Amino acid sequence: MKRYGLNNVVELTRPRPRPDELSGGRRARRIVAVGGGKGGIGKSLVSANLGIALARGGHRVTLVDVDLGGANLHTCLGINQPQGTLSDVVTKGTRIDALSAPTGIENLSLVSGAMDALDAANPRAPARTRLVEQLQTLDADYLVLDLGAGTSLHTIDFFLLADHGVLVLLPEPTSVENAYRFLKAALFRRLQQTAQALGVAQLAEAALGSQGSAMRTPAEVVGAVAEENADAAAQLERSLRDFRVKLVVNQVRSPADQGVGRAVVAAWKKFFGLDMDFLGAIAYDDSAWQTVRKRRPMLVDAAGSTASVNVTSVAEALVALDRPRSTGR
Amino acid sequence: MTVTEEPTLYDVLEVDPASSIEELRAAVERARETYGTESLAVYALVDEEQLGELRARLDEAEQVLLDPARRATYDRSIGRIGPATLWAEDDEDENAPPLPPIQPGPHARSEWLEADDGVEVEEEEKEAEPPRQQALALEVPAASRVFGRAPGRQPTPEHTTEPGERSAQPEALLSGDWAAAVPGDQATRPVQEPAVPVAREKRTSVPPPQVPDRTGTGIEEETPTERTGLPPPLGLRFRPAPQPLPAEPVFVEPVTPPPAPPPVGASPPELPTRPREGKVKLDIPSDAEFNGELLRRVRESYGLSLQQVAERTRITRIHLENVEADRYDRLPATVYLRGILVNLARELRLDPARVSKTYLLASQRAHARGS
Repeated sequence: MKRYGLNNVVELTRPRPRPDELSGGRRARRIVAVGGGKGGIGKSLVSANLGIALARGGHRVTLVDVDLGGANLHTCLGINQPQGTLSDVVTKGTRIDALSAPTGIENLSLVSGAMDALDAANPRAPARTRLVEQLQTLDADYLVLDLGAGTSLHTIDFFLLADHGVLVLLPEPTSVENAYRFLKAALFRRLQQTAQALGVAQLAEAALGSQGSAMRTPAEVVGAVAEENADAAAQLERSLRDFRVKLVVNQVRSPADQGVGRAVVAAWKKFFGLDMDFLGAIAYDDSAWQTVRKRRPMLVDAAGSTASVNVTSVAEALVALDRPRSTGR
Repeated sequence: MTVTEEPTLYDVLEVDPASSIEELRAAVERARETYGTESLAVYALVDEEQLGELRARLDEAEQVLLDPARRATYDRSIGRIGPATLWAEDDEDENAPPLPPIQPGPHARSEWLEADDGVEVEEEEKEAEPPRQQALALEVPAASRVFGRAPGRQPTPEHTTEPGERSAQPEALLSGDWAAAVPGDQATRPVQEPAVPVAREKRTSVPPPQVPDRTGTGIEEETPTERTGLPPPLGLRFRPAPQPLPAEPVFVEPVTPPPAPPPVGASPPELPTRPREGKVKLDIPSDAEFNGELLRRVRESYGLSLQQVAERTRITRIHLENVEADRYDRLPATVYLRGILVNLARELRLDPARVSKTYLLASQRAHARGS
C-alpha cells in the first residue's frame, strides 16, 4: 500500500458543513460514491442502476462519472457521451451544472467525466479541489459518483468526501483483496487528514509507527493520541467512526456467496473495530447482464430480473440509512 | 473495552457470556465460516500471523466454552459466574472471589457508539478486572493489531489446553488446528456451479437494510410469521438415537460432539437466563435431527425454490418434495436416498453426514413402525 505523507493533504480536509446544516442553498443533499478498488466488478453498472432506482424512488439524482480515465457511465445508460465533460470544469472554468445532461430517465441527469488530455485522469490537487467544490454545488437529492478503479488519491478523496462510501466487491479473492486495499488506503488517508486538521499529525504519525507496515488499529492510534491530547483524540475518534462503509456484494451466485457480505462486515469489525453496513447482494443474472451488451440500462430493459430487484433493494437500504434523523448515528 | 485488555473468549466469539451452549456452538460455526481458511472475507485483510492468532484463539474458545466444566473454571478466572457453572461438575472452589451479578454482558455495543465524549469508564466490570486506564468509545478489535507484529499472547493458566484433559471434541479440534476444523462440505463444495440466479424472491435476496448482520449464521429467517412453526430447541425435542448409522467415509464427521446426554443431569439449553423468545433466526443446533420440515425451512431461509434446488443439485423435484414431506415410502432405497440427502445438505450448507444420518434414522424408525 502506498503511503502518503502528511504534507500533501489537500484542502479537502476542511470541515464541510453537514448537508442538513445547509438550508435552502443549492447543494447536493447526499453524496454517494461507488468504489471498490478493482476494475470490472460492475461499479459503473451498480452506479448507473442505483441512480435509476433512486430516481424512480422520486429523488432527483445526478450521476457523475468521476472515473476520469475510463468514463463510460453514458454507455451504461445507453446515451451518447455528453458534449461537455468534467475536464471543462478544470480547463475552461465551466460551471458544473451547465454540464448536467438529461438521460431520458425522469429525475436522472448525468455529468460525464471523460478527460481526454493526457494526465487528466490524475488531476493535480488544485484541480481536484475545484472539482470537489463544483460537485457540491450541484442541485440534486442524490449525487452518485462512479469512481474509477485503483487507489489513486483523487479516487480516495472522492470516496471520503461522500456521505455514503459504497464499496462494491465480488465474491472472488482478487476483488476482495483489492477492496480491502482500497478500504485500508481510504481509512489511512482519513486518519491522516483528520490528524492534520486537528494539529496532531505528528502524534498520529508516531502512533502509526515509522515503518510502512506498522499500521495499528484505529483504536490504538486514538489511544496514543489521547495520552497527549484528549480533545483531539475524541474528535479523531469521531471522524474514524464516521468511516462507515456501505457494502454491496455483486454477482452473487450461491448461498455461500450470499454469506460473504455478512462475513466481510464481521471481519472488518473484528480487525479494524469499525462498523460497516451491508446494503445487500446483487445476483449474477444472465438476462440482466445481457442488457449491457445492448447498451441499455438494466433497470429499464430487464426491470423484473433478480439483479434489478436486488439493485432496487440496495437503493432502498441506502435511502433508509438517511431516514432516521433524530438520533444521528 | 479498553486498549490494554486481553479480550475474553466470549469477546473473541462475539457472544454474550450468558449464552447457552447452543448459542456458543452457533457462534463457533459462524466464526468458522467467517475466519476459517475457506473464508473469502479474511483474504488479504490482515497478515497470516494475525489470522493464525485469531484462529488459535477461536480454537481455544471452542474447546473451553463448549465444555461446561472448563467453561465454569474459565468463567471464574475472568471473574464472572454464569449459567455454565450451574451444571459444572466441580464446585469445590470456595475461594472464588465474590462475584458481581450477571450483567447483560459487556457487549452492549450500541452503548459504546452512543458515547460522544470518547472517554468513559465502564462501571460494571470494575471489581473483577484490573483497573482501566481509559475506555474508548471506538471499539477495540479483538485482534490487537491490524498490521505489524502480533504480540505474544499469553493465555491465562486456567484455560490452557492440557493434552490429557477430557474433552468432548473430536480429534480434529483437539489438535488445535482451526483450519483443519473447516467442515468437509465446504472443502468439497464444487467450485463451478450453474449460473442460476440466487433468489427469485425479493424478500430474501437482499438482507434487511441498515442493520449490519453480524449475528447471522448464514441460515436466517427474519420473518416473524415463520416463528409459529418453529419447534422447541431441536436437541430437546428429539432424543438422540442410540445406534448411529455407519459414518459416511467420504465426509468429515460433524465437528460438534456426538449427541451424548447432557452432562450432570441438567439440560443445558433450559438453563440460560436469557429467554429464547424473540429469536426468529433459524439456528440449527449441532445435534439437530433433520426431518423434511427442517430441511424445507433451511431451504426457504435461503430463498431457494424447490425448482432452483432441483436445478442446482440435479435431484429431481419429486424426490425433493418427498424428502421435505417425509414421505419415506415414496423415497428411493437407502443407498440412493443417502446420496440425495448429502447433496441437498451440501447445497444448504448443512453438515452432510449429520443430515443423512438423522434423516435416514427417522426413515428407518418409520419403517419399523410399519408405515
